Amino acid sequence: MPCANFPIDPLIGPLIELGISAPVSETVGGTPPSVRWIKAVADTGCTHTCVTPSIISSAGLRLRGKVKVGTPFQTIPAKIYVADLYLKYALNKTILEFAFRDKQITEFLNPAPNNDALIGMDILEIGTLIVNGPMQLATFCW
Amino acid sequence: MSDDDPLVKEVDQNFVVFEQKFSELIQESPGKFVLMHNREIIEICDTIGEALRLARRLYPSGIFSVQEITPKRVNLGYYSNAVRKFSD
Repeated sequence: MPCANFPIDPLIGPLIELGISAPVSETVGGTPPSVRWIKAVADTGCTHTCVTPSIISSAGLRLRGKVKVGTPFQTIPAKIYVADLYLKYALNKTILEFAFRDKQITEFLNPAPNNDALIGMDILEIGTLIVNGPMQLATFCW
Repeated sequence: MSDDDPLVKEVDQNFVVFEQKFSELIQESPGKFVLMHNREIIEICDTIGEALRLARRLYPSGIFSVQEITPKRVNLGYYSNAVRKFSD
């Protein structure tokens, strides 16, 4: 079972390096899409992974649908994109990348300065998230 | 990406039809993915990857949309206020 360890920033939360690319499913020809690495917060209060528009644009993602998003005041439609997401993990001192294919992501329009994405329960519910408060460390295994 | 973009128009128009047919779709194909083009349901696929691969063959221009048939609503938690209104 792959496991990724990542630090908990006391002001932001569990910060993890997340890879994002256009989905292989939409790739024409044999060239795999390039992966962009960004800082993301693991957020159990968030149902779906969301990414800033600038990252969506630079990763070459295309609009693929709409979804209803619940806010404290109303339910509104938001844009849906499809991406392949990646997490790094270590195995026998070698760093490997694991791909979560064809994940639907929404736009994240008001991010904190130190992160570009929220990793939501659509990813976290696949595995086990352990928060070690005293060590300021989180571990995600899947 | 402006609202005049052909892809935005396509997604908007398809979403209206998807919402109209949602109660029927959720009864018949919950958890599946609808490939839509030009306000029509083209195919109902088991996975989003299957829908994307089919769409790549049928619509090389990339003008299509895919909607998941699910009653689940997205909630971004603390960051919910960050979501911009897309369109009604």
